[in-house]
Amino acid sequence: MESTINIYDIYKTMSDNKIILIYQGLFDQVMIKSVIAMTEKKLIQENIEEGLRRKLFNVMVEGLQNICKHQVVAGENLQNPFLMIGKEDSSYNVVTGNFIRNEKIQVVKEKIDFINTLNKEELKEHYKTARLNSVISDVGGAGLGFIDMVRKSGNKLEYKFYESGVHFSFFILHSKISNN
Amino acid sequence: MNIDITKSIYDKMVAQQFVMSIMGSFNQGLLLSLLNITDKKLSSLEIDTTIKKKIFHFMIECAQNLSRIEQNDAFTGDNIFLIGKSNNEYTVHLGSVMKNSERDNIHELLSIVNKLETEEVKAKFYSELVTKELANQNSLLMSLLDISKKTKEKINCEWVQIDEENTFLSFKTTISNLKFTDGIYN
Amino acid sequence: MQTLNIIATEDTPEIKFNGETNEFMISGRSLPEDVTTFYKPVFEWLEVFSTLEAPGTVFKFKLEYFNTASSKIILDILMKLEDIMESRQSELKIEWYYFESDDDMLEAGEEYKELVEIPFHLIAC
Repeated sequence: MESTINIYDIYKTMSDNKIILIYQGLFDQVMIKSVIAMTEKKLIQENIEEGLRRKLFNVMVEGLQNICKHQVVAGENLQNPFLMIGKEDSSYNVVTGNFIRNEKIQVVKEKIDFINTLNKEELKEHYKTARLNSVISDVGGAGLGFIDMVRKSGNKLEYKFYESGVHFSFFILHSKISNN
Repeated sequence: MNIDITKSIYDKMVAQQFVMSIMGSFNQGLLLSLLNITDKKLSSLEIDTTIKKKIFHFMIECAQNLSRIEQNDAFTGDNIFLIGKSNNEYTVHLGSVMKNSERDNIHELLSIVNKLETEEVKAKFYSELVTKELANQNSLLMSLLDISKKTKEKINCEWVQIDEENTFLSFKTTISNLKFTDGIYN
Repeated sequence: MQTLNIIATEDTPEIKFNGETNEFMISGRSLPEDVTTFYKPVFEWLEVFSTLEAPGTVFKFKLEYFNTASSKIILDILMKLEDIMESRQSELKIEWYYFESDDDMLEAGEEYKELVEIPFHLIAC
């Protein structure tokens, strides 16, 4: 009976928190294509108005690509990244989580904090500049992704780092998507 | 929703060693995507094709029948699909909320199916096949016989009654014959 | 004789019926939710086929997977072919292909073979 109680517990937790999709598992290019296809179908199922659904979808794809770029390389004894989409009143939250090396934390923090200070116009400018200047580097890639998420969602990004041992932390990123 | 809550949900799933979990209404479209993802996951674990097929069959029949059940009654909630790890084995779970009467129906059919030996399951399946009238009839019995026949094991099904009218029920099958490695990127 | 060509999808098989080239094949995966609707054109085609003279027909099944609902439809197709063979008194045979490692497909072939009176050949590939 034990395993059923655990599954039911997960089910109930998701239901109570209005989570419409949660995927934790392998995150590589091949896998995320399937996750994206599945999420697309799920979002249609939810009868979300098209504009909102497209925003939601775009932010999710950015989030997934961020995970792919930043997740800690295979071989480390760490848990899987995850993607979660939840409903909150008339908005939706796209949440991603993945392990990240502690050395990267500061740069990521600075990038997001900076992006969060910008208004719509400034975001557009910053995006253009970042795009023109972008060097193919991990951090550069993330920069564009974060900007995109803020622009498309219309809201600031929320995040938190949870320490996990000496070298790594678990990075959770929340993006709220509302209509206009 | 606040971030700490999200983290606690994630921690809970990790603590219970679920390596993949998806919740949704498993209509045909979603089911096909789910099969795709599971295929990739199972390939990454280097699971035998024979075993993969058994898993797919389990998923297809459970999902297609569970969703037919839901269409007959008022929609009672989402399906949940999980691949979990316990005792050096992987398990695949498909769960759903349904009316108690439907649960009782499943329970009754399972008690028939699970009493049969492998050869008897096969015989009963084909005798039902010949006599069954319409292909689309919700023949849960046929599906259960087919699952039992293809997985070559008793059907594992458990439930938790949620309230006066509803039960959460889940089917489970085990995947053994794996290279078990510690850590998640396996 | 008309042809019937339905291309395969993620959950439905390829149907290739061609009277001119004498090629009749159902191949791929069959797991639609609504089998009746999908296979309706096949039965309609078989109805027309039953009225025609056609020597030496070989029907091939090369399936990699089929759901429970499809099991019934496949039996219905085989039984329809059996009727056609009996009423026309012409040669008709079934070739049931299965991958060597696919015990389920072999078993299904063996069972179907027992259920219909048509020359039925099980072929490993």
